[in-house]
Amino acid sequence: MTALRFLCVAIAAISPDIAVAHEAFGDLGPFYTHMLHPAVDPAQGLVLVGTGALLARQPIEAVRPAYAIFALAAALGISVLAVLPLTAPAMRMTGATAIVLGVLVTIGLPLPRWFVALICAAMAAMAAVSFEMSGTAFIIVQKAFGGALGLAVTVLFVWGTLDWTAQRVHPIATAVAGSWITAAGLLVLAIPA
Amino acid sequence: MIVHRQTPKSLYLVCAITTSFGLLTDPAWAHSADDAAGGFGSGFLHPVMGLDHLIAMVGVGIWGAFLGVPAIWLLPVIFPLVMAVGGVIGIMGVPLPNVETWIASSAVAIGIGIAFALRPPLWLAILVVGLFAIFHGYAHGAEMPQTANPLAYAVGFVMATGLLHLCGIAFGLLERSVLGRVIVRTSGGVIALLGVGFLTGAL
Repeated sequence: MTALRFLCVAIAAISPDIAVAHEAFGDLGPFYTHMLHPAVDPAQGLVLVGTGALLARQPIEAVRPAYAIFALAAALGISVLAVLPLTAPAMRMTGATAIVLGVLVTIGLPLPRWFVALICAAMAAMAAVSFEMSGTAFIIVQKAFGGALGLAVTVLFVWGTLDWTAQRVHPIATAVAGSWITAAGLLVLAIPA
Repeated sequence: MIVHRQTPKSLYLVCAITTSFGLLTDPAWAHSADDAAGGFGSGFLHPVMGLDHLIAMVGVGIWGAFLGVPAIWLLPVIFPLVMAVGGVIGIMGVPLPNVETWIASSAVAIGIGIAFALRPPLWLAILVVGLFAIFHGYAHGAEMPQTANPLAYAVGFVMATGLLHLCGIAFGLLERSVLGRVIVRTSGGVIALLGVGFLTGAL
């Protein structure tokens, strides 16, 4: 039953009614709004899902350091964003990134650990700059904590879901997710600026 | 002699739950008018609300289940990728002839494949599905630039397409029982007939 509960939560989290329910969040405050940001920002969400899926295709020995680096880079990226006014990556940049991640996930080759860690660091930085960090010092601190937690939890959730599915259902499940990510990236890349 | 493989219970569980969620689409478009106008919900609903798209996508999943391993998993991997190429062609405005005819033909062809339990070589199945995927993707892509949030639209329609395939696979797995086989093959006939309806303009 634990597996069933986990699966229900996993599917409920990606189901469309939750994904489009931006307005349903209401005013949750800066911490929770930033923590839930990946669920309502498709560009940020696509990058994070791609990162989680990439980790799901790698051996656990590569995942542990890569995830730690991801979490650190996310926290660092958000901290820098709080000080420097950086802009979110362009849509085509997001599309190109999704294609690279999607192809790596679909192929599923084990990558060198340093390379996985490098990709995770880059993705964390890219996702971090998608936040908006204005407000008083206290609000910025809340946004930073919420944002960093949101990024870390999203990637962990995607990795856990896909890893579980690959082990308990079929290993190709992650490749299916990779093809979705690649397809979305291709379409995003083709959209006129 | 036909050898039936043991299917893991977890696979049935995942397919059943995925099917349920695939059918629960109404909350997605009840949330906000803005989103329905051009975001995730709009993209998600495009393949779901268009019956010609829907029957073909579900049909691909059912046919994949009929063909067995590895087609059952390869077709859902390949279809979105090729469909995205079609979507890119549509976004770029490259004219493709008779798009609606090809989409209707895909339902007819896949429906016949299911109804008669056709088992072509894997490469041929991929070729057929890939060809039709281009036209389905084109129809989605051609509408995308006008949407308010094209990125969310793209993610929505790719996800919907994938979930429809999974629904088809879940339904197609019924063919492992005698009664299920009759039901699945009959559904193939219905898909083919609906396709003929679209092809002739009756629907």
